[in-house]
Amino acid sequence: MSCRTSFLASVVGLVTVMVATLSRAAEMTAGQWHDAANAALLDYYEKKPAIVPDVSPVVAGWDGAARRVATSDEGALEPLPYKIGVRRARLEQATVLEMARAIRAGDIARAQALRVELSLPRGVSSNDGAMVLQALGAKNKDDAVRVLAREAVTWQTTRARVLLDEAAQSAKEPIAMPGRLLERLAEAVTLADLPGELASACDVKSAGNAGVSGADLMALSKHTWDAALAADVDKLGQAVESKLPVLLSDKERERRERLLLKLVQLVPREYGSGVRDGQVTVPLEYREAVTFTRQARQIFGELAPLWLANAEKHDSVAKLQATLDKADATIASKAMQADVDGVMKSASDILQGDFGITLRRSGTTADIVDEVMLEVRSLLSQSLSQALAGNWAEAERLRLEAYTTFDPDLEARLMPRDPQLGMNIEHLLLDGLNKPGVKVLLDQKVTGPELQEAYAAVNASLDQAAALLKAGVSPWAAGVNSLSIVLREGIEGLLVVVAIFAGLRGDGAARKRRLVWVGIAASMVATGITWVLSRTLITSLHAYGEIIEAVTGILAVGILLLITNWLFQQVYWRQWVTSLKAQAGEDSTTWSLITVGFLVGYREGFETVLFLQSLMMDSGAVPVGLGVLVGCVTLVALGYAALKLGMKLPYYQILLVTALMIGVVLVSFVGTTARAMETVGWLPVHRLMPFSWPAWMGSWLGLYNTWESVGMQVLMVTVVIGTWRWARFKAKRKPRRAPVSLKQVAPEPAGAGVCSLAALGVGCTGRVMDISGDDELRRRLLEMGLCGGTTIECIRKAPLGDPIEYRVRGYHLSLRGEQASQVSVSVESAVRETVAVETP
Amino acid sequence: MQSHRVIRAAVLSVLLACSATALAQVGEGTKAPAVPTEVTGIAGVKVYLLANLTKMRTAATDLQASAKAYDALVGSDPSAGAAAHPAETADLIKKMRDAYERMDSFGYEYVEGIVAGVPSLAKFDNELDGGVPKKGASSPDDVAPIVLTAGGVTIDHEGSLNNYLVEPTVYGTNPKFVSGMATLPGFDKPVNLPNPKLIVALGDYAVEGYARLEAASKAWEPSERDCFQILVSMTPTLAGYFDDWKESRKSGSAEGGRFVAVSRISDMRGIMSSTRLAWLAVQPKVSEKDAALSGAVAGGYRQIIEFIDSIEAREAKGALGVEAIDALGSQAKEKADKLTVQATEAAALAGYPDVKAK
Repeated sequence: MSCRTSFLASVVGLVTVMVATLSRAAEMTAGQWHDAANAALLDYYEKKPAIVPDVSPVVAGWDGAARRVATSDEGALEPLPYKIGVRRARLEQATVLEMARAIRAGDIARAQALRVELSLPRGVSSNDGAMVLQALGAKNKDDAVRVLAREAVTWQTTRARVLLDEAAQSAKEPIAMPGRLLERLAEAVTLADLPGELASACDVKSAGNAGVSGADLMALSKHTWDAALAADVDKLGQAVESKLPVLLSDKERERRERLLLKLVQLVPREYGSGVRDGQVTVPLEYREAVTFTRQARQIFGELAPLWLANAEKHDSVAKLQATLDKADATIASKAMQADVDGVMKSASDILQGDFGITLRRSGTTADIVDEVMLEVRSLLSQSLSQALAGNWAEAERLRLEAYTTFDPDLEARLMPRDPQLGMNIEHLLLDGLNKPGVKVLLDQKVTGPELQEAYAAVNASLDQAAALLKAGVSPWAAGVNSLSIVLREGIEGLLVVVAIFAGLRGDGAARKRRLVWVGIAASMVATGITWVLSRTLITSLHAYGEIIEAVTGILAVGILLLITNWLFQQVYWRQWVTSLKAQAGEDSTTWSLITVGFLVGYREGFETVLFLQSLMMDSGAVPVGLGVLVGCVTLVALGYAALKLGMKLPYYQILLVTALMIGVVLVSFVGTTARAMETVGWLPVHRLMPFSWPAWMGSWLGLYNTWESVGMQVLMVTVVIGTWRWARFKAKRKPRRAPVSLKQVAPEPAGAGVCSLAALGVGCTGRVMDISGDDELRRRLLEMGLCGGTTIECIRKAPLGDPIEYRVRGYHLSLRGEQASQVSVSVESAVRETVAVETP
Repeated sequence: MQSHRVIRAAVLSVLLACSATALAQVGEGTKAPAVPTEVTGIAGVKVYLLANLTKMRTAATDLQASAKAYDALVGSDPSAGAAAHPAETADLIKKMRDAYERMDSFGYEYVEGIVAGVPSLAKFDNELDGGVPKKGASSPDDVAPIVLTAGGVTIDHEGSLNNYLVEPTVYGTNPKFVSGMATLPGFDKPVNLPNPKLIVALGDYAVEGYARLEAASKAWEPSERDCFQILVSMTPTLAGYFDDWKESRKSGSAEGGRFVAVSRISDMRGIMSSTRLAWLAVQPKVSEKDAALSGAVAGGYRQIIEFIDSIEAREAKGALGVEAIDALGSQAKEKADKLTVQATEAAALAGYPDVKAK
């Protein structure tokens, strides 16, 4: 090295020392402390002077509990490796406590800053915690604390296991490393001794460190380096490991056991899809097989200590471990399928036989998220494999199966939490977001990277969803969510009911209104039954969920189409009722009205049940029930007001407004029905626009980015408007009472001031003279008070002259033009407007 | 407060200036390529890769030319040929070794993180640098596909071009690839002479192989996903390097025939440099989501490289004690393990949770 370089190096060293001295006075992060401790250890092992770095600058501003843990005395033992081992573990535990405090304070940035200081041993995952922090922000803090604290303690127990394993290995080596042995054991034993505050944050019980003291460790480090030492270290390691914090509740243990069995059974399937004759044919499948095997081993590692607590299981645990080791080697060597099948069947037999594990899913709680997710991913993986092999129909079947597995268990939970993510997953499985989705590509038989990326994008979103679902929902959020679900679905139904009732005004329609109410009441009963049965019946109908949605959607669209046309022009409805009457008499009309009410009510009720059930399973009955109660009260008030208002509002206006609203609902229904049909494969999927649409357009307006759904909506609008225009056209071309001329009603009514009630001008009054037509009509009109001599005033007429509103005996009455034309009146009042008058 | 900031800024400026000067002094004698400390987006990764591949192709062409000249000089009896032309033979062997170092140790190793991490390029890593011999391979996927016959030697899936074929041939560490021995000027010990026909064939293979890699790299359209895949795939390899380093130092064993030219630490530095480049390309995206994680990953890559330097510096000062080696190796491995988990987390946060280590 040249003189100049030496000089510069000296200057750099000097300045570094100065900066280090200055910064020490300010503060120190946990990471900097670890670096200082590492440097001290190296100096110690190199027989140089070394001191244990002080932890006080790190924890100066921390919470009392965290500070107390970090600075707890490691005892009177002097060796530096021991002190650093203990202090390192305590600092890790204290950092988690401080992170928990930051989360509770809503300081997510600080929580993230503390989290990155924690040790991360090989093989652990930190994704879930990161997603929880991202997804929840300052909300739902207790759940976030629990998830992140458990995650961190899982890392610490993993690190403790690694350190104990390394200590056991190093004790077997012929080279004596007493300092390293002490360092590792001190840290592992301290990590096993979980502080009460941390155990509480994780919601676990600390079992201590098997009573291992610092003196025990010191004795081991001074032990002669021989076979006996290896045995002693091994024994100590097993004792400590058996006391490591158990982060699994009984339920979680059960879930992991099922997951392990499922993984063991899935591996041969993945392997068979990815490897043929010892060659990897689909790398993604092979990687999944490797990943599943690795996961199986990790879960085994978690469960083994629990199983070993039962002495009778020792042999079975050893047998299972050997089998999983063999499975690992078999898959790594890309052995023949039969070998993989054989070894995995052995593992499966041990799990089912020796441990009595079955795949029965116990209830539908948030705990099963991993399990369902695994199933969905596996199905998608198989679908991709089939697509790559050119088996497009099978690929589509598996895609659909993946979706129907995702839909009831996960999507229903996801929608109340993050509807955007739920919609995104649906998009990715169908039409795609910014790129074509899986179904589009399968329909187009696209191969290559584009297809694989589409599947990968779904998996990515599924991971996000899983992380979000694990965090749970706070009672407040659950209440608000259930309220919004009830209101969203209820208002949609209410809109339709108000529209129907707007067309059934007057005493003459009272019976029809009652029939609709009967249908609605029946739908509420059916919704209640669905609620009760949903845990069993709906679960068994999982595979048909989308088909049911498509079928009910088609029925609902049909009904809405009738209502819309009825409201717009009263053509179909009248013809339909007349036709039904003609064919089967009054009973058919009765059932039709009941059916209308039932379908309108049950369509909304069914969906509400699905969403509320999942929400209740995660958050309990009380918050969801309160949300539902508030929602129902609000709906009843809204419904009462709407119906009252509807009755008071001018007939024409209420008809027009409700017709427009129902038109919007109809378009939405058509879109969602088309979507359901696309999902079940009854319709192909072709993207309309290359870019993605906002999710709310789908959830509120039923607008989805496919030619099929938008095409059906356009078609529906065209049909409704077209038939309306056609009806108007026909009315002009073929007037009901031709010829028609424009004349002043008074003082020239036909004959001696007598005309039909239909011809009475707006604002004019007349006196009832006679009622013609059939007996039924006569009876009804008489019941309405149109007796001979009664004074009647024409209030207003619809643009097509039909229906017409009258005032009689102080109340308002609406009559069809056809009905009014059967009534003869003598004109009494002056003219206020120009009307069409029949010319004899 | 203001004056405190001024003093602090001044101190830091002096520190940075001194560091830069010192690094410039250190860099004068090294052949290692300069790795940029910042890139212009994802495209910058490709620019860096192509720039280095051009140099590697030049080095491969130099190897090919020197090999042909060597073959022409020593003929069918290299020992006799070298004895007749010792100075020219020595010069050509030095040129071949120099070309190899430029092609691999200071060439490929500095882009390996990218090539091995990008799915469409990874097969070249297997062929040129990372692949192992068929015999003893734990997985057929890891076997380098090279099969050739030259100079009476048949090579049938015997490992990657750089590490298992060219290096042992030009350094004479594999008896199968050697044709005699000679005492040459400028060499302390007698030199095992490369099989002339074999080194010519390997030179040809190198020119053709690197040209193929360059063409594939030009066709590569880099994406964020690729960058995260590089991070998630290459960062875990560090832990293995540190484990290897620790075990080899503790046992005092040498890996026969390989990693002779340049120490494995140099390889680690090269891989990390290019991996870090991929990180720089995607760092802004991660910073948006979690600034602390972004800072930790950035610091992690920087620390790993500093740690590699410090190991080298400690080794240069003298033999380390066995506990120090064990501690140093474990500390480095822990950093690499942590960085691996954090890189995967960063990928997940940026929207690529399915990107996993291969």
